[in-house]
Amino acid sequence: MQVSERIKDALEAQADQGSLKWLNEKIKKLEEDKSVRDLFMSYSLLASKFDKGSKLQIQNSDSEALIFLTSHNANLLEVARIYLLIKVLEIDRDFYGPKVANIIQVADITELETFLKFLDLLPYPEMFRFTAVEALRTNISVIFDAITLNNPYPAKYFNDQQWNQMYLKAAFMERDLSKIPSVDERANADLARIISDYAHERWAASRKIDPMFWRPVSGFLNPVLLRDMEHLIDSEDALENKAGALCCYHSGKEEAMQILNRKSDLKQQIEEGKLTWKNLKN
Amino acid sequence: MEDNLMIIDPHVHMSSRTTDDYEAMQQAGVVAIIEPSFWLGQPRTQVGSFQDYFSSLVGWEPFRASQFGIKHYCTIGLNSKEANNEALAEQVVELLPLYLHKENVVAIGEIGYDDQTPAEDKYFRMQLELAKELDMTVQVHTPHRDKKAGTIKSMEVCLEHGLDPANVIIDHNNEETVKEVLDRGFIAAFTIYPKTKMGNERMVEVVRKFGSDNIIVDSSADWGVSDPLAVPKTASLMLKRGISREDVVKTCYQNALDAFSKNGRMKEEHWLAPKGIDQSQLFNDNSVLRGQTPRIDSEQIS
Repeated sequence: MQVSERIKDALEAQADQGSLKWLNEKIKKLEEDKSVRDLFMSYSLLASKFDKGSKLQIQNSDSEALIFLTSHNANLLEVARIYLLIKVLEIDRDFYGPKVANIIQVADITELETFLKFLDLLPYPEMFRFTAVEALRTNISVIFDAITLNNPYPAKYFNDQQWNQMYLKAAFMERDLSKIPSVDERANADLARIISDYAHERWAASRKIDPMFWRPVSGFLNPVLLRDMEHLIDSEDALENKAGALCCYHSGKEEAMQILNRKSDLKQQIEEGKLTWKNLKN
Repeated sequence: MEDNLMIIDPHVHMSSRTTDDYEAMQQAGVVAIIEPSFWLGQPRTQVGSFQDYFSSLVGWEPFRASQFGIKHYCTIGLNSKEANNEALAEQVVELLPLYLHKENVVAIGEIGYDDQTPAEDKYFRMQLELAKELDMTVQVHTPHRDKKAGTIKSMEVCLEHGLDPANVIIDHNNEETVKEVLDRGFIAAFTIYPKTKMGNERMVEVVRKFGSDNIIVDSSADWGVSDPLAVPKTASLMLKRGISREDVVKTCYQNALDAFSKNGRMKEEHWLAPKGIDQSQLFNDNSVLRGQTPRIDSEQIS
């Protein structure tokens, strides 16, 4: 069953029947006529037909798409918007793809947030990488968070440069770095260097850094980063000690293990599985 | 400010204003504003310029306002001046349906006449039809020159297109036009300009003479000489001159709320009961500032 059909079923269980009938008729027309005006008007009118105050509720679904929507607390308007976009892309990618891009280009904050959060559910999600990367440039935190936090899209489709840009800006904007998926998988040498440079800047200005920030450096401990590890291990901040210990331990490097030995209690906690990146701040 | 009067400025072009203005407005009791689409002081030459402008009215500007505890709404439309570039106007009108349903859009506006040319007439009527089709409120800009005739014509054209006058706000009124507007059942907005046109001393007399029903005060502050505190200042002056508190609340808050909340997007709860932090919306920066003065980080150079 196509993703759109699963979402449609879920929507049918909850949404206003008159609105659903209207939407089905519009989609049928969009399939037959391929009209830009109808798409724009239909998309615009969703806002007055589907309730953004009601959350989608699904019990025991085996559909990844539905699980993703509910785990992100999608409301019915968000679901209807995503459904319509998925549907027209399924109908005719070549014709409707650029029109969907138009819709997103003029999105307001809430629409853009919806689009970015659920971008991974769209067919041909790589088509919208430009929009996703553009969202990194925003200073509107809700938009930045939509693409960056709890979102599998960047790890799947961003190149290293884009990924690093996102990770650094997330730290700079003081977002919750533990909500970025696949941090270990997307670690790279360039990012490790960027992290070290940024930390030096902050230290020079006597400012703190989120200890979670260090997580991607483990696999890339060169002499500069080893000195940073010493800095963390010798710090008076217990969280920095823990971050340093985790980086050293996971690096598997002899020099790093020697630094880690200065905090044998932390080493033991890591070995016993009691200290991880997930519970660092607990 | 007199024991916490809440103020709505239903006509102010914040894109041209600084954060100092937002701060001062919030401190003066402004809880919500409406930013009509207008021209930018010189004509745009590309449809893309309109698109980006409209996008900023539904994107960046409401966010910026939220950082100062002010709720931002807007009206979307093709203004009369730029309707005279017909090739461009055609493209702008095509773009409008994509914006009219955005969540902070409360009306089609500000539209109407400037020089009362045939092109202005054509696009005014086109947008009135759109308002009728989508059942939207309309905010009408009245001309500076040949004002009285232009105002009357605006109303007649609205009626001709079947709009309910109670759903049309006629803006930039003066003593010469107000009676006609109220008599015909339209809502009369007054722009308080510093030095010229409608000053706030004159506004006090208008309210004294015509009462507070269907009368709205706004600042129309923009990139020119203007005062974004015009509404709270006028409210204050009215109280000082002995206008009743009830009339002040109506003209500087309630009437604007009633007039612009008909499509359900503008709601008192947005500022009376702002939502707390909603983690599920991945949204937390704004709520910190809502209703309060912005945080000043002493470490940062301002």
